[in-house]
Amino acid sequence: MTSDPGRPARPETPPPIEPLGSGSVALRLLAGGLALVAGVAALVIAILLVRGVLL
Amino acid sequence: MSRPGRIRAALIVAVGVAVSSALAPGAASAHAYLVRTAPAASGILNAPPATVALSFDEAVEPRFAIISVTDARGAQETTRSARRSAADPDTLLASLRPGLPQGWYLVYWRAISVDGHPVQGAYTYAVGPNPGPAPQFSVPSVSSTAVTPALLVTRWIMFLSVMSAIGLLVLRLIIARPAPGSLRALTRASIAAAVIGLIAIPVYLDVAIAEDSLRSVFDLGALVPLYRVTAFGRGYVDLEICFALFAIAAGIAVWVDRPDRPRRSLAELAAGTGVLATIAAVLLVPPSIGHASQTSPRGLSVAFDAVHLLAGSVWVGGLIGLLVVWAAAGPQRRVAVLGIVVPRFSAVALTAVIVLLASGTGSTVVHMPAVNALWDTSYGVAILVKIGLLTFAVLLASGNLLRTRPRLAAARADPEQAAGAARLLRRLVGGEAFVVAGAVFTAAVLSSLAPPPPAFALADSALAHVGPGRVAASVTRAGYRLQVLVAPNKAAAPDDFALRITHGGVPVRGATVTLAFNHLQMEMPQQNYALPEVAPGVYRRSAPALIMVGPWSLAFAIAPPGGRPFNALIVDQADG
Repeated sequence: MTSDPGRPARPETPPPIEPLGSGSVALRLLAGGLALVAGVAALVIAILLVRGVLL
Repeated sequence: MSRPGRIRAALIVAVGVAVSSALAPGAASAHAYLVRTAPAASGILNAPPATVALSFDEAVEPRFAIISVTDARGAQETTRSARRSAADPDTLLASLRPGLPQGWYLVYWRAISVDGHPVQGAYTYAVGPNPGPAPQFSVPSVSSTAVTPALLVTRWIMFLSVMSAIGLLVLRLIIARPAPGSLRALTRASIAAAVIGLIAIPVYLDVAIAEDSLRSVFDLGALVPLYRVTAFGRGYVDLEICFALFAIAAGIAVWVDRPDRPRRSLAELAAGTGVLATIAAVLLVPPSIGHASQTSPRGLSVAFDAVHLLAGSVWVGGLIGLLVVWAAAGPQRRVAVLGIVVPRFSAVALTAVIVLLASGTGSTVVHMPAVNALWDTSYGVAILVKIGLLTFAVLLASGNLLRTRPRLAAARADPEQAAGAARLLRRLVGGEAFVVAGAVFTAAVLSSLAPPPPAFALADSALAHVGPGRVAASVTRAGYRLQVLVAPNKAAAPDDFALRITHGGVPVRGATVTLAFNHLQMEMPQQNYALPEVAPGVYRRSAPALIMVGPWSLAFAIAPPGGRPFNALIVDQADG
């Protein structure tokens, strides 16, 4: 690979991948989506209550 | 987005959701009231009836209703518990022993409105043809209340735990991060509060249903099927579901959160949005099943309550969170951690207090029909006590803002001041949390009491306050002398209402007189009766208009012939 004189040289080694914390990315995304679904479900219940549908 | 910007955005989303959904039209509910009885109140029958029938303005649940029929000696004459009439769902029936002897009988009833409040009343009837003189029955207490110590304590624990769980999570997920160290202590406190809340909601529902159906709180076999019978019960079951969804979303949000990173991942943002949505849902449920849902304008009233709860949750949960951080950090790291968290929380708490006061004021304006209702009704007095406690808490909070925060900042440069700053913070925050918890207890009392109805404002223009007992009062209005007679002035019985009108000592003949009845402490439809002239200048009518005990406004609308119409209002205390 030739270096471009106009640009700074690429590092020899790629930056270390940051630790993902708890679980993999996919699992974390799935969990986040699940929390979102829980939020929407709770809101639907609350709005139906406010509108008197569930009372 | 900056930190304050993020917090503002989060609060705006929650508030926006609350307001937009609350403004949607919905069903309103009110207290059940008796509209018809068979036998009629104070009526004399020629033969004993087979049943007593009580018709209400709404369908009341027979499993929560009591109809007692007793004779002059107090012996119970019903053969089975109350049941719903097959012909009319708004009518409850109680079967009587066949062939009851002549004499007077007392009917005492108690029912639960769709909003969960008990309503009670009593009246008499006689079996003739010669029932004899009416005896002096001992009338059971006809005051209705939803305030008992067990109900209040469980309601308080429920409110406090749910609000603390929400506030602790807001502190953990929004205010305290990014944090240099672990936020595990806050996570544990949030979990503990959520678990207590998840237990406290069904416990409160069980105690309330047990109270309403006059059963033991441990009689779960009978109580659980009743949970979803009333709108009140269904609302609290739904609150439990929403709070469980909050706990799930919160658990996920904490699990995916990495508090050391300033920027949030997609998973963190999704989970955070889910948490905010569940918080909005949880905060919308109590107003939509409480008094706010019965107060006009309903959307505004529900929104005020939801926003009030949100601000209170952020405040009380944050204070508890500061104490948790103080205890968990240990003497070495305490000032370093508190030096970061306290200034952030102070800014949010200040906003929360302003929102709390504004929404509380708005709610008070919506609920209070007149300024003097604040000191003349138990609901108003509870508001004043709550305002007093919150004012005291704000004073303590200002101590934190003005003294503790600068001392914590100074302690970071001069470690010798650290112990003193931390001690002052613990004292002030501990005192503030204690007072705010007291304010939450007052809120539990407040939400258990019925707010004064709009008719309360009528009492301010009363020409006279009369009763209890037989009324014979004279007032002067628009140059006319009005003599008012109410006899016997008993609730749930036909009373005589008479008005003698004179002008310059001369009876005023041919006037049109209408009498309007409004209960001043309960929401009931206004009743209007025309009073025909029975003698020169005397207008009289017998009517079972005083349905419940308590203060009634008797508004006479008088149109004298050839004269200007005018109104005269007296407040009458009707007895049981």
